[in-house]
Amino acid sequence: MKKLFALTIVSLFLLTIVGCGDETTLTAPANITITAGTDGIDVILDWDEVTEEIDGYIIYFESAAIGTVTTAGYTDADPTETGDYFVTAYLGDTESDPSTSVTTTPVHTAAVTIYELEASGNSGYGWDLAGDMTGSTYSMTDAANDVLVDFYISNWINDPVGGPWPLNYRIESPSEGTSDPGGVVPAGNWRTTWFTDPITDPQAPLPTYSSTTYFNYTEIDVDPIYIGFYLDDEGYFGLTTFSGANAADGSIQVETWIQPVPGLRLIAH
Amino acid sequence: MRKMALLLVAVVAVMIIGCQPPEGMTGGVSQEAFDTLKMQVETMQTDLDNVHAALDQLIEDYNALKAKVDKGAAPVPKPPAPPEQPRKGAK
Repeated sequence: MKKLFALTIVSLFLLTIVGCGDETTLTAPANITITAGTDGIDVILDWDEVTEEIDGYIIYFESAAIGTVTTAGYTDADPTETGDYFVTAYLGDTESDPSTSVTTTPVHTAAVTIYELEASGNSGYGWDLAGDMTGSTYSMTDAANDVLVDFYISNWINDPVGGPWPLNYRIESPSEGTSDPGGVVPAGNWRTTWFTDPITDPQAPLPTYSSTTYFNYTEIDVDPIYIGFYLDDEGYFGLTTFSGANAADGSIQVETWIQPVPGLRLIAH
Repeated sequence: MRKMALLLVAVVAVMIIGCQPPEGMTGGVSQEAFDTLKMQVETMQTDLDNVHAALDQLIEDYNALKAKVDKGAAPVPKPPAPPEQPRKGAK
């Protein structure tokens, strides 16, 4: 009887040991970063190596596995979509918790009203680059806004009412403001932004940055119109669309998307 | 014979009476009157030609004006051009 009892105890102990073997946990990859490839299209992920024994890492895009690697680092070559990435470590059938997510999804700001330079309303617009990257309107008559404004609207003529007549609106780099015939932009360290010609496919990657594809202003001559931009200081690409120009009060609607990864030209949304 | 003589006298009398010009007319149109009349006719012809020429000019002017009106109002003068802004490429 004593032998049977001892055997039962030993069996239970062994069963416990074996059972606990499947519950091994892995550390999730940490410090994941996302950068743009030199072509402005590839997405490069990097993270700290997991120090414990693992077989490798699994890379996910929009919650679907898209590849595995044995060392830290992965390049998603020529993606056509934007979205969220995360990584897990794995050992055999065991997988760690996911890393924090990083994203290429453009930050969208819904349409807001903006005004031609001499009309009675804000003509400047800028993105909260140090925060949530949403856009807001600002006055171009206050030099204190020179660090906040990324573009403004002008018809490049000094008219007291504002409005598109007799000229189209333009999306202008703030750095052009002090030269504007409107004559209301004070001296300041206004930022520089470059603009594409009108974009025909608002889901396609933006043009490669060059002196023949980005300019100091672009005319808003059709309704609606899509115009890409490049922020000179930080290297962010993005897309604007304008519609509903109003000659009576000098207003127009603007909606924007900005790519949160510097240097990445993907703007699909 | 006497009857014959009377008849001859009667015929001569009728001839003389019948050949007399109508009362108030001295006989035919003088060259001077004809020339005057001709001059008046020529003057009237010249006047008529002038009227025709004036009418042609009037019709021409009317058609030109009509063509302008049919094309619409004359264009409004353009506002003064704003100063040009050079479109610079990115750095």
